[in-house]
Amino acid sequence: MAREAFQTLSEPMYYVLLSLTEERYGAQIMEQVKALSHGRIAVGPGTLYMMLSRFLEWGFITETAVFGRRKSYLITKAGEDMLREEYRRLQQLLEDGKMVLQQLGQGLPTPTEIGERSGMLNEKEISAAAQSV
Amino acid sequence: MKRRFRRQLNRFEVHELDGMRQHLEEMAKKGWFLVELTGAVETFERGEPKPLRYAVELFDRATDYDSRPEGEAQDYIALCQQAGWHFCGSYGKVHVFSSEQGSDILPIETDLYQKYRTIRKELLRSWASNPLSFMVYFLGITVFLAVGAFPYLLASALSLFVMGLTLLSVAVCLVRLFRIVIWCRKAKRTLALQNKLPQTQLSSRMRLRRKICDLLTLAAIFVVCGAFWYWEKSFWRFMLAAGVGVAFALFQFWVAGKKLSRDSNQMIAWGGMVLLFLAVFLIPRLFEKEERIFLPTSQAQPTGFPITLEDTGETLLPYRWSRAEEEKTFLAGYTDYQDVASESPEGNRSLQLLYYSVYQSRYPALLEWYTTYRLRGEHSRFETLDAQAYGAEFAYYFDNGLLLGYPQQVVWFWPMTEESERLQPEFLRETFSLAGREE
Repeated sequence: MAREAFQTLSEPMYYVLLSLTEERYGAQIMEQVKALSHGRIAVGPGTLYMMLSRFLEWGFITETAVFGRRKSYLITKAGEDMLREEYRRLQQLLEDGKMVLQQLGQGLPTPTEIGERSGMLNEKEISAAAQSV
Repeated sequence: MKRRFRRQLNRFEVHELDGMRQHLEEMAKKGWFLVELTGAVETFERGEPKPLRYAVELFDRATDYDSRPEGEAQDYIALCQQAGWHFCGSYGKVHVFSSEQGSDILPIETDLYQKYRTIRKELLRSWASNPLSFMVYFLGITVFLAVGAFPYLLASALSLFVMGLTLLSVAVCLVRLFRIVIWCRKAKRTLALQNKLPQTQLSSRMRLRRKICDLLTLAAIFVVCGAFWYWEKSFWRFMLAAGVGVAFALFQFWVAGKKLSRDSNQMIAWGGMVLLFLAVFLIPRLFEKEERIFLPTSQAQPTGFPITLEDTGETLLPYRWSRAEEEKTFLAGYTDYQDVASESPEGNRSLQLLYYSVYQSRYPALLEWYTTYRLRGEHSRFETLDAQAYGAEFAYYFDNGLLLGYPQQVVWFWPMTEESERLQPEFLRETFSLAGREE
């Protein structure tokens, strides 16, 4: 039922799953989401907690290590499948959008430009994001 | 010497937690920092005034019985601490965090739509659990209607009073629901247009007004209890019930400060409910002995006295008159009565009781009718003190027996003799006939 309710992932969910392709704990996940999305997406600890709980419930991630109250997580096969499915869907969205926007004769924005527009990154972070890309 | 700690009582609704955040930030600027949260009581510690950033969040996986973080709440707090937040305190589902002003720490909840849904769910849950009393009232009225006893509903000052309370509680419930719906609509709108939840502005004047309202509500509860006491005429029973209630409230307050585990709190809460229930329903039974009606032992008493309602092991007899007959009388719909036969210690049927429950609005009429028509013959009126000895307001003795008057009841006793057996149908006809009044 829950899986059906989230046939598509929200942006923060997508980035959290992406960040868990490597074993990470809470604070690292929040940092990784910020870095991956070029500062566009920020996931607060409360929101992240609920998201991780749901992913665990649906079997998208698994708990790998516990150090006191610090828990590390890693994506599962089911989570990877979901991520790939979502990627295909987004790819399709991108292709469709690209086709229409190119017909309009306008250039397409780069991820760095998107970060600048959203105003979530400072100059240092924008240059770091541009380098990573 | 300046005091180090300060306690404040502030009640914030679930959707007003933003107002609590503002209040905590104001207090930090004045040099008071939250160190503990116990229900609506906030404990502050004095320090150097500095601007702090607070976050007051609702964690719906905690329970109302959590006086300290337990289970999942501990993981939630750990995650917030990893993100740079300092945990200040929690009570139930409300968790308070602080951080330095101007720090670039992420807000705890970034998914505002999720936050809105959590608040809405909690608001509706608390609303649904509150009007339990309203449901009881509603069921009570339905039963009243179902058994065809509608005339009793508004027949006395007491039933009018109870109806007034019912309507008041229904109105309070509806107003609260209306406010929840208004807030939800507003929140949806601000989320869609401005991507934020509505701000709560709770000035110190509004908080003071709320405290006054709380005190008035408390006073109203005492007035209501006092009114019931007035009708029940049982001061000690009222005082005992009120004492048990106050003791239980103080105990709960003390327990809250102890920060016990969830299981202990749950056990105390439910155990307390059971104890209160027992106190309300069983303690009055301790007083029952004092309320027994003892008939007089004066020389005028007929054979078979003294005797008590409880001790005789009386058996109920079927009504000897029809409802249709009763409907013809001026007491129609306002009296309830039993015909009771009593056994004497020797095993003989020696006493007949006619027991009326009279709704208060008709009580003076019944009294007048008795004193004017029924008791105009040979009778003696007992002294007030004698009547009080039987817990009655008045007492009459005359050749046919004894009449005791209570706030809503008149009890009529007469000895079971061959003559009274013979006269009884006639007596009953006379008692319930309008003709007697029209004489």
